Amino acid sequence: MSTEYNKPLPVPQKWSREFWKGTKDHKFLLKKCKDCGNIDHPPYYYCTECMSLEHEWVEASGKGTIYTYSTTYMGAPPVFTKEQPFTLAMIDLEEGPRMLSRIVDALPEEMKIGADVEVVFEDVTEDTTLVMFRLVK
Amino acid sequence: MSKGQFAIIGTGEVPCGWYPDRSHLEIASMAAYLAIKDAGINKDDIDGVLGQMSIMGNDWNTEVTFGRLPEALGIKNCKTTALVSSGGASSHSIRKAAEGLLISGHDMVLCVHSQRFSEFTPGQLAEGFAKAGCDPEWEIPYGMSFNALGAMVTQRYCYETGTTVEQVGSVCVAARKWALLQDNAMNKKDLTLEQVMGSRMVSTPLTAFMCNVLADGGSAFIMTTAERAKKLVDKPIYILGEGSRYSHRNLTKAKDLTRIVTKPAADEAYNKSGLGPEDMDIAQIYASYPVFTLMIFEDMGFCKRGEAGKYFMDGNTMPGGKMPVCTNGEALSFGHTGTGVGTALLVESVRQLQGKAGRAQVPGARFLIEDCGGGAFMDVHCAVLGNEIP
Repeated sequence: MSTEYNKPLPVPQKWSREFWKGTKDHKFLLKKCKDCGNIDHPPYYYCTECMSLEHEWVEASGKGTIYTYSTTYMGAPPVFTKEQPFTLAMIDLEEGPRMLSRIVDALPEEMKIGADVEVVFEDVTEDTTLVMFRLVK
Repeated sequence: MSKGQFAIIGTGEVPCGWYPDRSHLEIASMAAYLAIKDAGINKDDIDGVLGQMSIMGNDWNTEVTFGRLPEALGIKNCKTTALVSSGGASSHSIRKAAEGLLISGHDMVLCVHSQRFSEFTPGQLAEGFAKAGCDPEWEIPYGMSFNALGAMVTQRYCYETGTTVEQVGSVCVAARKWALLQDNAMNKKDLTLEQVMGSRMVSTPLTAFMCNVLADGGSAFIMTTAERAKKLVDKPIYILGEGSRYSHRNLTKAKDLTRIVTKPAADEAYNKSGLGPEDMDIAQIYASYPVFTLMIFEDMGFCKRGEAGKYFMDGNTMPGGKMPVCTNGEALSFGHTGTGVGTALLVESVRQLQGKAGRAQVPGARFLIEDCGGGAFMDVHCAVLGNEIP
């Protein structure tokens, strides 16, 4: 944790504040529609399937598989260049949604489509915790 | 729109590249001047002027929004001017807006694109494009970049289809061959597959030469109804059929990441035109990353799924090949002018069908399919164009 964190931080919408409150407590929450059961991630104002405004936040298992990935060696936005190479991936979550995240503690050559991953909470500032993933070895 | 209801009658284009001394207004003025002269019309016949958004050029966007173009271009009978854009799909959205004007009290519409990137540092551009392509809350905090978007699609497409990264790289080689035949292209040197594969790794599996280079540039075209076009010019280029599909904003929400949404859009354009892939002399594909050239080419019906890579590698799409693709060299070699890549391809399409494509001319080209798409590959718009109404 650093007070000098200079990378972009998520600016939550009113309807995503619960998500970021959750990550701070190391809980990975998903916005689930109370009427039709659809999970929206990213969440939006109303359920993008049935337009219901009624929802609950359900805790995700934190497990998923890699749908695709890429290791960036150069050309990242300037505040990220010092971290290169780093690996980004799209994760298919057990609950259904696909999300983008960072894979930590893995060598580029260990990455594989279909590999199992699990959630890691990265406290990047005092107020913000990002959801990242690591390979299940 | 009915088949062949609208036509493009003139085009203009400025050299693409790094031109720090050339302003947005200068680019727009030059492109518009050339388009009006090319059509051979009286500028006072134009009564609609549409501008495309400049990426990161907010002052220019304000200028266009507040009516600079008609005044600067002397469009005295202008009734409507507006800024119209949808990222890389802007050649489509500006054309649709022009069609809308033409069916609602306008006679002739001038469409202009102008872009400058030379005022920014590479870092500012990386950041600007990350913001354009990626979600500020859910993606940018992880270090997402536009190149990483293209890279992830490439990775998955190769995995699903067995296409090799070399085959993907061969798209860049073909694009360069075409660019060498274009006086306005940014890149003037030949490019080999060895150079593509041997260039620095950017985001796996994309090397530097598989990522496009941003450039200053601009182009313009003039649209009117087919009826009017026939009276005004020798070679109007007709819009024979169009088809569109939207998929997503965030790439994680793509309906099908390795097919995007080309097939329904292409089928719709073919159906409306009464033509099929076998009738096309050229395919003008807005890709920005070479993997999209392959997947769009397949879904336009020219190859089976997973076979485009070999087709490109065998040289079939190069100058003199049996199916020319991207005859201006596209973003990869002509240069990436922000929202203007599709417009440059549309302008090149018209030139080809008018027989005005110079060294890049495909002999006897009559019909072609062009497409564009924007954002993080959010949409696909296909159009079948022809120099006759079949």
